[in-house]
Amino acid sequence: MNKNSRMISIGLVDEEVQEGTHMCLVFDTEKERIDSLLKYLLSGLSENDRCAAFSEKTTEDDIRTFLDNNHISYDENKEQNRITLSGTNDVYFPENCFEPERMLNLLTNYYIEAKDLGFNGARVIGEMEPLIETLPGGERLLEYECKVSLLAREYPITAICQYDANRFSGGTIMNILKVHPKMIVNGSVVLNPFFIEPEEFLANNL
Amino acid sequence: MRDEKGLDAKTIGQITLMQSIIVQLPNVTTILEFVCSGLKDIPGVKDVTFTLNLREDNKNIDVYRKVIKYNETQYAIVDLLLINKNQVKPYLPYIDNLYTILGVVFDQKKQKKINVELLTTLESKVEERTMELAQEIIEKKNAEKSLKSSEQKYKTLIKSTPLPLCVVDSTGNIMYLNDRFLKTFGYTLQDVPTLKEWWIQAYPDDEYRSWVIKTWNDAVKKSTIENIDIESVEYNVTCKTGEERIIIISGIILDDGFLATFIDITERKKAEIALKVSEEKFYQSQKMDAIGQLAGGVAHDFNNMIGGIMSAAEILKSPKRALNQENLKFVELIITSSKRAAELTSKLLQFGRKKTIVSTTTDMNMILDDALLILNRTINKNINITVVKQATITSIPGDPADLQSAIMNIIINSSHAMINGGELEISTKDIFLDNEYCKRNSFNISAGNFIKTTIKDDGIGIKKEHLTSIFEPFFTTKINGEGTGLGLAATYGTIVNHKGAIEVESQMDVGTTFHIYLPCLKQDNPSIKKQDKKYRGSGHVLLIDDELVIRITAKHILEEMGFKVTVAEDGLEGLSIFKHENHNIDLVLMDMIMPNMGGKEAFEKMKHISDTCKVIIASGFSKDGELNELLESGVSGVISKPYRISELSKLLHRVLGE
Repeated sequence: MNKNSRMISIGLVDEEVQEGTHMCLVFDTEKERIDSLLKYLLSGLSENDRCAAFSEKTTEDDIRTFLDNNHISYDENKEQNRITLSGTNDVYFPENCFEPERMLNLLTNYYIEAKDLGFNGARVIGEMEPLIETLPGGERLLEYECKVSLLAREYPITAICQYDANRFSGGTIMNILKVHPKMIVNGSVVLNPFFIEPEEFLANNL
Repeated sequence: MRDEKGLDAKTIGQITLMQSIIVQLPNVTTILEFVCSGLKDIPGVKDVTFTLNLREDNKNIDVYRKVIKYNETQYAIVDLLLINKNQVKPYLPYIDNLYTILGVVFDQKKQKKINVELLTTLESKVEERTMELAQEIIEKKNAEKSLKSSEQKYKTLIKSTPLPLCVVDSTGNIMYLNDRFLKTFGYTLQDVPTLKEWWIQAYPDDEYRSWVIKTWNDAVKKSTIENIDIESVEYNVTCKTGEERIIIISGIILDDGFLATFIDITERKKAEIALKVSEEKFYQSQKMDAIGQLAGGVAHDFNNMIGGIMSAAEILKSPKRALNQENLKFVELIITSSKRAAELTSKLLQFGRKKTIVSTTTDMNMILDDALLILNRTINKNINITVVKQATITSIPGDPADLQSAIMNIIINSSHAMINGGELEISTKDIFLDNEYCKRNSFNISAGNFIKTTIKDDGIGIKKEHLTSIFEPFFTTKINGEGTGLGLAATYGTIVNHKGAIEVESQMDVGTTFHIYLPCLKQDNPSIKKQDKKYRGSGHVLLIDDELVIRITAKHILEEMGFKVTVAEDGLEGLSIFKHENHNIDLVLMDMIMPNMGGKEAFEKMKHISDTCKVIIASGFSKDGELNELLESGVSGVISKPYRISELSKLLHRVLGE
């Protein structure tokens, strides 16, 4: 991660985080999920970041209404490539399989384009679907998460990975924790004590 | 990085983070999977397993076991399979703390589940109830529609009913009055918005209103308790115009108040009262006729008997019988008493209408004037007399002396009713009585013009039960000796004899009013007034009469005419005065019949004292022969009692030549 990278607001907590932070958010209610997503995008627009959301449950109307209430036009920002909403399955599993390299390329290009387009930075928020555990390449999820952390060091794209506690097993959630350097817990961004440095994790698990 | 106790901050952080994360995990299995997965990283721990069922201990390896209750009856066992007991030991307090939190989280989850179930149940019940309510609303709307239709029908029915109705709610607000109510009483809903206001308006008298409220409330209470209609009670309701109507009020109890119904029986009551009055008048008339026939018959026979007694006494008194002085006195007593009895009988005859009236034309106003002139100074000075003569035709056919006596009798009765003084109003007015009225009237009167004379006092009044008897002979409320009970009977007879009618109305402590109806001529006879001219005179008159009233009234009449008057109570006293004063006495006016010495004897003795003295004899009992005998013996004139001022005035003028 670039030492000169800026501090940004992610909208969910009071404190600012360094751009390029890779965070995990475990939620158990629908309200927590949508609130987190919308506030994160709003703060991104405020920071002149290019914003992308990957979600199966969120609609454009959800974002439009929320932004309208904050006097921001979703459609205008969408037109200006400031904000994008895509389905998780379409982004992560376009060929009904999970290919970490394709996703990492996508994130890299997204950040580079953002900078090229004049944005201060780029941020993404993705809701992982349990479907991944059944798809080819799904077993590479933790590898992918580790590589996102590595990618962010070079291309400081800020990322929040949302996991639904109701839809993933306790063991999976514990494993997910191990590949995210920071956690959003009880309204705070905390260092994750279970985090295993990606190089170590990849070395032990590949 | 480890401290002196061998604790690694990262491990403690992991345990702590787990404590934060497990709150968000959905169920026991997920939580235990998460925790066991996390605890595997604790130094000294080889593996962590959990089971929701008891199992045999693994004897071959150190196990740190924790039993965690996760619902009311079930427990989870978490086993830390240890490879280095000492290494894990420092973390055990933190792990125990984690387990404690696990227990708390399980409880929370359980409660959350219960809450969700309750919520689901509640939502289900709400949904169920919502559907029920929706159905109830539909039913209610249908019922309301039906009720509205029903209400409309009843409103139309109530509006068009011929009975006055009103609906009052349980708080006393009048909710509805129908058209007939307005028509009958005149009150609108704005006039009487509440039952209280209705009571104030309809029953203005406080005492009566209190009775009405109590009676009505009692009836409503009884109706509510016994589940019956509100009992019908008759009330006197004052309408908005002030008119009083007799109303039977009843009603029925409603869910929220009552419906009151009103039946106007005013006209029916009036008809009943009129019929009752008519019947009473008829019976009264029949009774008076019967009494009159009886009294007249007895009086007639009695009169003949008295005539016989008097004749026999006169024979005994004849000088041929040569009775001594003592016996002569007894004979004189028989004559005097007989003549008194004859006067009484005369009044009975008058009542019985067997007395022949002297039918001439007279003037009612003059009769009143004469009567008042006589009575003005004799009756209580505290009685204020007001006379209002409104009648335009005052000439009537009849006997002026009898009529004056009748009027005086009534006025005297009125004055006796005002012991402490009061107001006496005498008035006359023209009135035409038609055939219908005359038919309804109990007196035998014919349609035509009448003069109505009203004598009204504000005395003690006559008891209701006495009203039908006051004209009966010998009926009196006066103590023994103060009245004969023949005054009003004679008055009644006089009025009936003159083809008139007499009515009386009285209220205790308010007063009594007599109405006399006498048929009058079509137009006044101006000669009457000329004929009845009053004369003035001068000189000294000796008035001798045993009746106090006569002494007082006659004295007054004479003084009004200009005479000086000296009075005596009987012939003996009169004779004594005459002996001493005869040279100063210009005229003697004396009664014929008196105790001690009668008028005839006194006259004869006065003639001996002064043969030029002028004597007028007044008598209520006249026998042509005796009066002629007196005139022949030198009496200057005779006059019938009771005499009118004009008659007396005329006679004095003739006798004294003034």
